Amino acid sequence: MNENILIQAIINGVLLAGIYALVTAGLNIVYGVIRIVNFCHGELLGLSMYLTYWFFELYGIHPYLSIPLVCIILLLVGALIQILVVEGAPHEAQGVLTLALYMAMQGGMLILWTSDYRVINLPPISINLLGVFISIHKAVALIGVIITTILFYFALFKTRYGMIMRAVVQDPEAAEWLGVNTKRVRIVSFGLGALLAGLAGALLIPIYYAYPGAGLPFALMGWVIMVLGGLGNFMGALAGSLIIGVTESVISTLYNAQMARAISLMIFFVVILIKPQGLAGGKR
Amino acid sequence: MENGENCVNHLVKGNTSTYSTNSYINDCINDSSIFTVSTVLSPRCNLHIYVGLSRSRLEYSSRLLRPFSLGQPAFFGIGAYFTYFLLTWFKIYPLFGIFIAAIISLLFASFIGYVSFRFGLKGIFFCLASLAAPEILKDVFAAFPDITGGHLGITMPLLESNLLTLLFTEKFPYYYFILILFISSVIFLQKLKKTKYYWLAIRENEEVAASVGINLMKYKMLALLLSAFLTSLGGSFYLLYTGYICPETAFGFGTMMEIMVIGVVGGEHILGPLLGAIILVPAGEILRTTFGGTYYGAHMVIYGILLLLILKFKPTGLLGR
Repeated sequence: MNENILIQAIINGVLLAGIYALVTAGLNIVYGVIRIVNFCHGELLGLSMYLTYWFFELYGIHPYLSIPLVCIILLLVGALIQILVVEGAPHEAQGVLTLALYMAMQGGMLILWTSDYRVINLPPISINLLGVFISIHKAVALIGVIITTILFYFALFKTRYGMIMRAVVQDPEAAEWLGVNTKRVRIVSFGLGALLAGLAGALLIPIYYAYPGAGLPFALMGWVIMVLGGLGNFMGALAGSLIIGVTESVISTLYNAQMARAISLMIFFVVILIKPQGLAGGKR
Repeated sequence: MENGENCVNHLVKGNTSTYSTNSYINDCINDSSIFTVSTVLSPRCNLHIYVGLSRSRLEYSSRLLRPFSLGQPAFFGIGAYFTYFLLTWFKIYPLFGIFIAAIISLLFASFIGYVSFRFGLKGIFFCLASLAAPEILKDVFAAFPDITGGHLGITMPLLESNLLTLLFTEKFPYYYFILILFISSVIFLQKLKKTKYYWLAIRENEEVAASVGINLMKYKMLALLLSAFLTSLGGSFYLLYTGYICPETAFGFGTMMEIMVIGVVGGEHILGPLLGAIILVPAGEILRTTFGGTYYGAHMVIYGILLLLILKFKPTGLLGR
């Protein structure tokens, strides 16, 4: 076995882990503030892939330039979902409401873009890094993921609004007594969750293909990693996505793509049995 | 059970005016019955597996999370695949095979249940951990095409149609077969009246339930095993009826969603899943035949919006409190 292939597999794995981390961060925000598992997260990711594709096909905007635009649209879509669908419904029904939304969104994408696979054809450029070839698009996606994660960390832990959000995560009722508009925080956090899914989709489209169900595998792994890292835990989710992403990529390079997913899920099972609260889960 | 039959009859009558093709209606009824059986357990599932995150003292959060077992497709798929394996490898007729497959599901469920309950997985942790089980099975079944047919799936061999093979050339035997299965499972579940209150107590607050002497492990396992058994029978029936199964239909997210949504829409009542299935499955089929040709995908949009409206205005389900 050529060791370059292994290094390449690990780099791919880190990229995959980055995408998982973005998806999971979005899920975690929604879970932390609204306390629901967002079942239409994958569809939001798929939607942003299609939007990027549309901007490229119809207006010729380069996928990387349309990222801010797509992010803003997704932010609004997420906020709208929270206002129109989730907000006001009794809590038991909210998770299932997003499941119904998953269906409707998937149908909508089928109508608008049919079930064909859509690809953006960008010139394939590779950079040679000490004998390891990395596609420039993968490198950009990786850098984008890292920058977003750092920005996100600072927004959540170093800004005033981040502090308000964390207060709502810890105790919504007490936060409300202290004058926090929890309804607005919920709307913003669903919007942010959708924005992160949208960013993941926009970074994915140059290296991946879009189809109506494209988001589901990522969302599935996102749910799993969310538990693996400890629900609502930012650092735990990062560690979890690294474990799952690298395992999946290395095993699928060395052995077989189907078993790679199965084995990484089994690793999840083993970890969750040893630490039922997740990797970084304390008592919370 | 009169009730259920009436519903089915009513459905047939209601539909004949718009759709004269009888076979089409039969399709709907059979489909809804499959999911009825596989979700019969879901009110029971409601009763026990949806465990609240009981940590918080705040009143509104005591019923905050009632996770479902998202692992139902695992049992659905095992039921379907093992009926086929038993028939082709060991020449065991499906009449017995479906029950042996159900027992294999039970073994799998007791493994999952034992490890997760033993290690204290509860609430949303159990819900999402159980989601991984069908995903693992789906990938494993797809990874070995020589044994399981891989992504292409398996087709039932052509056998003579009789009661042993449970393969029929017409549709009405299937209808009565699933009806018998459904009625017997309802009667059986109805016998568990006392257990129902244990389950309710566990759902509302695990610690309190344990403190008044309810054996948590025993009753959680019982609910999981019951659900696995019924879901597995549903899966076997699906294979016998359609004659085909592939990893995506057996273990996929769609199957999970169908099972869960029907249970939720029906509500926490023994006939809830029946009502949910009778409304949603034919609605889905009618929408698909109406819009499937011209606007592919429109049926899913309408179906999703229909679901949204039902849940928005009757969040406890149609038969719920």
